Amino acid sequence: MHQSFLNIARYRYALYAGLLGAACVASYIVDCAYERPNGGTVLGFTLGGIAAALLLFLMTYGIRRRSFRGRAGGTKRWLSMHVYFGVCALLVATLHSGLQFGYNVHTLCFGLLCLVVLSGCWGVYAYLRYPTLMARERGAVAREDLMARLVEADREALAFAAKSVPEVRDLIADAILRTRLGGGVWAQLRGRDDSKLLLVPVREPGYTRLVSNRGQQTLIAQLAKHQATSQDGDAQHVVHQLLQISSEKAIVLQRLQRDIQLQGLLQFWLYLHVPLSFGMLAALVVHIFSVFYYW
Amino acid sequence: MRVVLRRRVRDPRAAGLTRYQQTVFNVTRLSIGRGAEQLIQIPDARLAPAHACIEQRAGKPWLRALADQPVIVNGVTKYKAALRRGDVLTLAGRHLTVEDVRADGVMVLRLGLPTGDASGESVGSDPQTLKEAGLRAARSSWALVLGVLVLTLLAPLLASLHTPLQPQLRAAALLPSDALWLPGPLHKAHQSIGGDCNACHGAPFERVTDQACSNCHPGIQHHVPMASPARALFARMHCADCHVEHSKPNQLVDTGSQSCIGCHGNLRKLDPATALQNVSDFGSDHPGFSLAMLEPEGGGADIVWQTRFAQSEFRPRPEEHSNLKFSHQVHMEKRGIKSPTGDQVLQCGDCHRADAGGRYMAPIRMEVQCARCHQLLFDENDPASAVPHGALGPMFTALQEHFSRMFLQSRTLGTGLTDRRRPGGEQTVMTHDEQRRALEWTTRQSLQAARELLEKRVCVECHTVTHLAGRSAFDQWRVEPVKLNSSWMPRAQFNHAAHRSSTCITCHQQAEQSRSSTDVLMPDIKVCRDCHGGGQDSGRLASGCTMCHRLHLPGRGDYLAVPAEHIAPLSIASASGER
Repeated sequence: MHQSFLNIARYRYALYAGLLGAACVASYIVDCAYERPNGGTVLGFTLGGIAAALLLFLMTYGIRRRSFRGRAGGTKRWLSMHVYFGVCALLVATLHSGLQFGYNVHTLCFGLLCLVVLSGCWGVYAYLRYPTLMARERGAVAREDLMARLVEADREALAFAAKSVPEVRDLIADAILRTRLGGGVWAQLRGRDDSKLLLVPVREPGYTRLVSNRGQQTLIAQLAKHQATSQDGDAQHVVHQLLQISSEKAIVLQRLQRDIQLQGLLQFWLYLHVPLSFGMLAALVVHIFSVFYYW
Repeated sequence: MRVVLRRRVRDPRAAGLTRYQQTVFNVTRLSIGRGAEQLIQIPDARLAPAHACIEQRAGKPWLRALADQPVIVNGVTKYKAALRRGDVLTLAGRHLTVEDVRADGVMVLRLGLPTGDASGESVGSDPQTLKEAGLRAARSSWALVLGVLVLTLLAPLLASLHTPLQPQLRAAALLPSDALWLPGPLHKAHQSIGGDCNACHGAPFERVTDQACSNCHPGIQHHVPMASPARALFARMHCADCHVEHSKPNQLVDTGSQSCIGCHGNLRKLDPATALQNVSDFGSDHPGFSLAMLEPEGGGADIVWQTRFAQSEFRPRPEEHSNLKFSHQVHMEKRGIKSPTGDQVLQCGDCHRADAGGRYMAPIRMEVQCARCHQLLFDENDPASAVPHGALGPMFTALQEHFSRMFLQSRTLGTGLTDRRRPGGEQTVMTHDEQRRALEWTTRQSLQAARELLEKRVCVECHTVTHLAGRSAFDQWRVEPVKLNSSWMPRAQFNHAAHRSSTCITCHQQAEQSRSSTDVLMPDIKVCRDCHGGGQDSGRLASGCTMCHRLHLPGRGDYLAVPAEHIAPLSIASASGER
């Protein structure tokens, strides 16, 4: 079986975290018989201490990840620990809360922790799913090669268009200019083709309109129209070539867009996980401070 | 707005010639920029994606810059400008000329070729990674950390540290204050304190002191007598150990039984001299009920009622000695019992009424509960012949008055009690002899009636009447005083109102069969256990110690009279000289 960060060392870290969580749950259940669950009881303080220690330990993963001094496979073990003990920390913190929530810094800290763990779980999902998906969708081709093919297709299209009538030439030039790849955060994550095309009516009444050129479909339709109405054999041949190039470009463009989207999804959770972790750490400090300030 | 755009394009086939591509837009605003969705797209990095727009204002074309960058109009940088014929806008080296603004509102624009070496490359100019798109983990981390610290640490600290801002911060609902540090809501009883945390929380990083509690709650009683060595066990206990604030569910007294069981689970070892037994759980480890029995000592006016505790389950069962004769069985007869208004079927509630609070039973009083049926008539045929209930003196006086009146009435009306009438009978003044005989007669009649009441018929039905040897006349009887127990379990609290849904017989099971007032009809613990389980029972009502017992007991002395820290902590065993 492939060794991922989840099953490394035969799920050893899952076992350790599970044992710690089970021990905390068991003591919580036993303690419930004697006192109301609260963060301020002896068990409450103990669970809080364990949770805080776990969270501080988990935060050091960010440092550890950047250190390359460890032996090979070490980082994978640390990640495994980080994942399992992260989930365990949420469990221990929940028990520590005694399920008492309110409009206060304590619940803020707990809420941030929930978001941190949730974003972490998304990260686990992303790491398990998207790299394989990216490899499958892009094939063995690197993104740079796909980009080169796109530029090449554009150059070929311009060269062929130069031999054609002005309408086709303008159409090709405008389609190339208005082709979108990537963009802002939302555009990257959404992965939708926002390419546009300025549609100029020729020999017919109407206004110039800016229309969607998703998947180069409008361009292809316009070229097909030109091919159908064209009488000249050479011109037909040129448009036919342009059609082929545009279709090929559409495929390359789609792959690139999907690749950008998957890469964005693979990375985006971390832009939530890291800031939320630090926010949670700040709230944790305030939580501990305030509890003892008004003891 | 209708716009005719003439776009100058290079035509490779017509070398040296210029060609214009003309397009007509019918739009409300003409967008200009680098982005693909702009109507006039100029792919140049110097322009913003949405750089500027031309719209109509009061029928005139109007230029407005959308990004922070200005537009050069006729060589002058402008953010907005009214456009007239001949105006030239310069956008990344390309000229957009207003060729004409016609009277019908149609605007003719001409877009020239790039003057410089601007590249036409658009693909690849958009960011293709999240980092290129401007996402930075460090930046948002700092923002979040600072936001959290300012809102939840600095603002509450300002509110806490007696700054001039304190009242405003605490009063405003939306401003952050030290209310954000509240782990839970205040108990309803404490809501009058409001947001003033410092009412209880004194110096920072110090636990709430007992003194803070006693400021509002003075005179809270102790659990053990002040002189008891057991007081040392409470030396390290603080109010806040049992009275938990800011907790959910919002319950001010920690009803968990652990604090009680800490001592009472092993009390006989802690204090060998104690009369109490160990207890750890109502359902499984609680002694039977110890009843406070009243025992008369002495008799008559010298009687003293002593309280003696007796286990209700021990055999022989404890007996009540109230000096009252009473049979519940007779009174609870299903067919009814004789009364002045005919046979009457009595219910428990006809005699046993709860007090105003509903918690305890009101005391049984002869005048209230018994007198309806038990009329104290010495002449059954004369409803006016009732004697008062209570001491014997007024009863004898009432009898003597009655018979005196009878004597006098018979004399006046001539009904013939003393039949002889002297000559000249109008004379109404009695002679000494007649008076003596009249007194003898009334005394005799009164004594006879008293004997009937006290020894045969009325008083004796309920009371123990002692015939005193060597005494005569009215001094020869003594009715033994009656005292009914009103507090069977003074160490526990029972609420009749809370048990209203049950019938009396559910708990006082022997009441209908009891023939004697010596029977104690208090339920055994096993009757309670039918419904009440231990503190953790899930099948029955979980009943912790505080459901029936209180920590602060009346008459034990002020809990905080001497600061507890001044009493050296020691165990009761060592205090009583036993190790």
